[in-house]
Amino acid sequence: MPHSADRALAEGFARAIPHSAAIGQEVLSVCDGEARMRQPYRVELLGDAERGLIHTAVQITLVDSAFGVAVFSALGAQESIATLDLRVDYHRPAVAGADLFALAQVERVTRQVVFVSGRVWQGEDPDKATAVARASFMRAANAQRPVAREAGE
Amino acid sequence: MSAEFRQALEQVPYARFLGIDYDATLRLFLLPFAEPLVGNARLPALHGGVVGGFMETAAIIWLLLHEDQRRVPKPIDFSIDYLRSARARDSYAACEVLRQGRRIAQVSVRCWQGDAARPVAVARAHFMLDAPAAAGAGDGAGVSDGAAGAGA
Repeated sequence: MPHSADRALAEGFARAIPHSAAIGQEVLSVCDGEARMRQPYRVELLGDAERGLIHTAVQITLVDSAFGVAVFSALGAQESIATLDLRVDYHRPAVAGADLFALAQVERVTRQVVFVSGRVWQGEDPDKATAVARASFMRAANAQRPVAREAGE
Repeated sequence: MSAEFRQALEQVPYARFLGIDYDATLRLFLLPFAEPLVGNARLPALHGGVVGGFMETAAIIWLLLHEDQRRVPKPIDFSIDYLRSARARDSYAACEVLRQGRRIAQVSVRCWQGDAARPVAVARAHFMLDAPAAAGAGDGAGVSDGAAGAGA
């Protein structure tokens, strides 16, 4: 059962993240470093019209959102974060006509960095992943910016 | 907009959804800023997934336009490093094919906003290519593609 603060996060999510609202992403649940999300199918999300496949980039956006929600739930929504890197492996094609689901889990929180992993699937079985992903985030990105950012801005 | 790029947009509807354009002279992809691309309304900054999706899509269309691919190449994996936050402004992407075998292509993508020397992100991706039309004839050359075969 999601905490009340987490429920507020889920409800505020679409308002806070314009792109997620534009593309129709929904937070299904979020609790203690774990987030579940849904990307409803839409025809404009196709990446390969000939084969009838959803664009893999839609899964990048979905896991990136889910990672953000999971990390916020682990840290408290006041702390700002910056994505350092993200890797996605495409295990199966995501087919037209079916929604995408994502699960993101925080694996470790250190003083500076948060490590997360996640997966995307269609249908009932999360083990039949269309994509698996991994990312690391820098904590308190507003207070202590990485050296590269400092130099660049 | 060139006929080739227009055809690529028909093959990849999501590229049109993001609003991606291509400059055939400069060989650069453009993602014009639009409010629905924002991921952090406070900064404001583009959604990290939009930046990644723009770069992956650029790589796919690059292979369609320049590497003789008729069908959309199948992405195998995608890896991105975020270097600076992508602000509420136009973004550009340039692609380079670092390796292309018979079955696999490895593409490197750079994305920047104001200054090309200060990328907001760099990415690399592997793609499975369509078997060449005259597959039978050139099959003996498969040994040269051994390394990529292991990754598939």
